[in-house]
Amino acid sequence: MNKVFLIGAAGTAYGKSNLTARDLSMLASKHAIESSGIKPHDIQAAFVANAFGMAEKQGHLGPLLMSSLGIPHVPSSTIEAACCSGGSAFREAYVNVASGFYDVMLVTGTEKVSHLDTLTATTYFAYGGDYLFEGNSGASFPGLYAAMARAHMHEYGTTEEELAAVAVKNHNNGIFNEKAHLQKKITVDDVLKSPVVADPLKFFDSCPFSDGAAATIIASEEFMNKNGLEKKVSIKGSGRSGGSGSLHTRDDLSSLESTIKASREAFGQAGISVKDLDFAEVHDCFTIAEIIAMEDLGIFEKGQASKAVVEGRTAINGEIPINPSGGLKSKGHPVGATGVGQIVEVFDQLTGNAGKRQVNDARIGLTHNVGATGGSCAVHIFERE
Amino acid sequence: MSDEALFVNDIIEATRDGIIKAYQCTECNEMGISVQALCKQCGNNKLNIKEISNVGKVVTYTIQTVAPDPFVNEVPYAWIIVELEDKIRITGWIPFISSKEQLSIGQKVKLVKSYKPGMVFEKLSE
Repeated sequence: MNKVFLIGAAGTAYGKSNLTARDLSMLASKHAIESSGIKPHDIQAAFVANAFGMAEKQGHLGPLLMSSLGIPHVPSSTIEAACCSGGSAFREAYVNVASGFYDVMLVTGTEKVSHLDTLTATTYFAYGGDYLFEGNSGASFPGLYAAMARAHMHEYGTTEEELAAVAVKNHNNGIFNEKAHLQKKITVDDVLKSPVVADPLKFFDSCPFSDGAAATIIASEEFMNKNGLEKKVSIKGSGRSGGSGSLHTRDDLSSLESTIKASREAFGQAGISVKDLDFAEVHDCFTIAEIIAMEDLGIFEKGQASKAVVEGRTAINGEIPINPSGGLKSKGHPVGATGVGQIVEVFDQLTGNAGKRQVNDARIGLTHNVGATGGSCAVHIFERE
Repeated sequence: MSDEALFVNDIIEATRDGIIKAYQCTECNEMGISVQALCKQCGNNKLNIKEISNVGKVVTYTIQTVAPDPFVNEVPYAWIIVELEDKIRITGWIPFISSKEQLSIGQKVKLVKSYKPGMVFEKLSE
C-alpha cells in the first residue's frame, strides 16, 4: 500500500443551522480544498457521508455537491453506515488512494436534522439499530446505550456519577472550541439532575442532534512530491470492522466487538501500540459510549476507564487526552459529518492549530467512529510528519 | 420459503401470538433468534426453524421516558433484553413499568400475546 497524506481539513460550526446539508457540505469542502493547497480539478473522486438525506427530500447529494465545487465530472457516491458514515467514507477513500487507483480524493460528511421535531428525530435515530428487535419494541437510540450502561454498571460497578464526569470533561473541552454545538460548562450535579431520557442515561449524558459538515482531502505521496506540497500529516493506520447490529445477539453487552477488531487492525498497520497515542477522538454519543470505547481501544482495562475520567487522566492536560474537541457530547453529532469531523480535529491538533484546546506536542492521534450500537466501526491513526 | 431462512415477518407474526421462533443449524446445532440464512458458527446453509420456550430472565433493561413512534403514549415502560431458557436472547418490552426499582436483572419474564405493538413481555413470579 502507498503512503497517504491528510492534506486539508475543515468543518463548519456544529449546532442549529439555517443552511441545508448540501450547503453545509459545500462550505466545508470549499474550506478543506483551500486548506490543502490543491486546485478543485485535482480531485479525482469523492465520497459523501450522509445518513438522513431523505429527511430533507434530497438523496444523491454527491453530483450536486461536485457541481457546486465546479467539478461536475468528478465521480461521487454517498456512503451510509449510520453514525459511522464519516469514518467509513474516509476508509473507502483511503483504500482507493493507498491502492494507487486515485491520487487525490475528497471526503465530506454532512447532516441536517434540526428542522425535525424531537419525536421524528428520535424515531429516525432508532432506525440505525436492528429495528425489528429494538425500535419496533420501543427502544429509542438512547435506550440501547442505556441497556449497555446498565450491563456495564452491573458488571463493573460503574456509577452514574462516573458517567457524568465524562460529560463534564467533554463540556470543559468544548468551551475552547468555537465551532462546538454546546459551549457551556456543566457540573456532575447538572448531569445527575437533568431529565432522564432512558434510565440510567439522562439529558446531559447524551449528545445533541446537530447540523453540520466536515471535509478532508487526502493525497498520494507521488502527487505530493510532483506538486511540491508540504507533508504535514500522514495516515498511519486504517481499521474497519462490522459487528452484530443487534444487541441481543451479543454475549458481552459492555463491549463493542467492532471497536476491538477495527482498532487492532489500525494499530497493527501503524506498527504502534495504544501507549504511543498522544490523544484520541472517540465516539461518545453517550457518556457510557466513551467509557466502553476507551476500554475496547485498550487505553484502560475493562472497568477502569470511568475511574480514570474521574481522576482527570483523560483531560486535555492529562496523560491521554480524550476528545479534546469536546467530542460528540459538546462539539455535537451531525451524524454523517461526525467521523469526518473527528479527523478535522486531529488535523488541527497535529498541525498545531487547535488554539486553547491544543494537546501539548501532539504527534500521534486516533479517531474512533461507531455506527449505531457497534454494527460498524472505523478507526484511523494519524501522525505528524 | 420459510424453511430456507428465518425472515423478518416469521419473527413478527410468531411473537404477536406469544410464540418465539429460532433457527438451529442442522450441522453444528448453533441456535439464535435473528433474521438468518447462513449459520454464524459454521456457515452451513441449512437451518431448521423451530418454536422455543417463551420464558426467560432479564439480562439488562432501560426505562424509556422519551420514546420513538409509536410508543409515545406508552411512556414510561421498560425495554428489555431477555435470555430465554434455551440460553439464547431476544428483546422486548414490558408496559407500565415506571421506575428502575420495579424491575431487576434476573427477573423471570414471559412473552405474551401482543395487545400492544412489538414484542410484549410480562413479569412472572419465581
